[in-house]
Amino acid sequence: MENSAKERVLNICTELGEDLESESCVKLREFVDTCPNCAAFVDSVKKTVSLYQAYQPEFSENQRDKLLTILKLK
Amino acid sequence: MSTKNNNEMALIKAAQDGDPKALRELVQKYEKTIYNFAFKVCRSEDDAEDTLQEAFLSILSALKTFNYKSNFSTWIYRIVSNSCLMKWRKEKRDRWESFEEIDHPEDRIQDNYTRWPDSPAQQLLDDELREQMDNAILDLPPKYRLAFVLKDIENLKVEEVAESLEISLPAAKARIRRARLFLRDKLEPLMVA
Repeated sequence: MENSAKERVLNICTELGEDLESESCVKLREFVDTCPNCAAFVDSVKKTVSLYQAYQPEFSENQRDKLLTILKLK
Repeated sequence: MSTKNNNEMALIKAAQDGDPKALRELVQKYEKTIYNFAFKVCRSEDDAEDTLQEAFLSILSALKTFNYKSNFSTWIYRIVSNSCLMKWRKEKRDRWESFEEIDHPEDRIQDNYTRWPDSPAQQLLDDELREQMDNAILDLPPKYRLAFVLKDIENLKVEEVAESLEISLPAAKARIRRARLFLRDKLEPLMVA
């Protein structure tokens, strides 16, 4: 695939702001899976998102108490 | 309209009327969502807590203006996003000033990509990766960061991202796209090392 065409295909999901698991992106991935370099790129974007999704903070009772006090709802 | 939505509308109405029990319930319903969102945007517990408190003060003071035309959570995200943007404007950080002007190699597709490991989430235990993730997202100008977090972490629809940030749909899509590719590029050295 020529670079400009490849670039266009690979950017479809992100240009559309689509969910990477949406039907159209899954179809796109099936297509780019035939191109190892394209597949590695799409996979790395998906893994970037999953890394940021996995990083979860904790909200403590102490933080809740402080918030309710500030809001005068305690 | 679903029972869940009806219950939420009744709760919002009671809170708008100043019922302290309803206000408390509304705060407790959204506190974790807002804290998580603020943390993922600010990458600091202290900043997330400040943002949470400032955002709730704004939400409660503006609660009577909520007119049920938009989704309540989208309305909340709009207030929190504005609160974050105002905070950053005050700080006048210059680290993002040139972001729009500089050439972004991550916007171009290269000829060779190395496949990343299959379970990158397990690598979160790696302090170096977490630090790199924090630095990467903090290098993103706030407006891009907010779009990425709203879409990819809070799982809003693109239309809701646009509404929350009060921007056009094409602008929201462009910000999400650029943020995803920028972060991917920043993490790659650690993932393929």
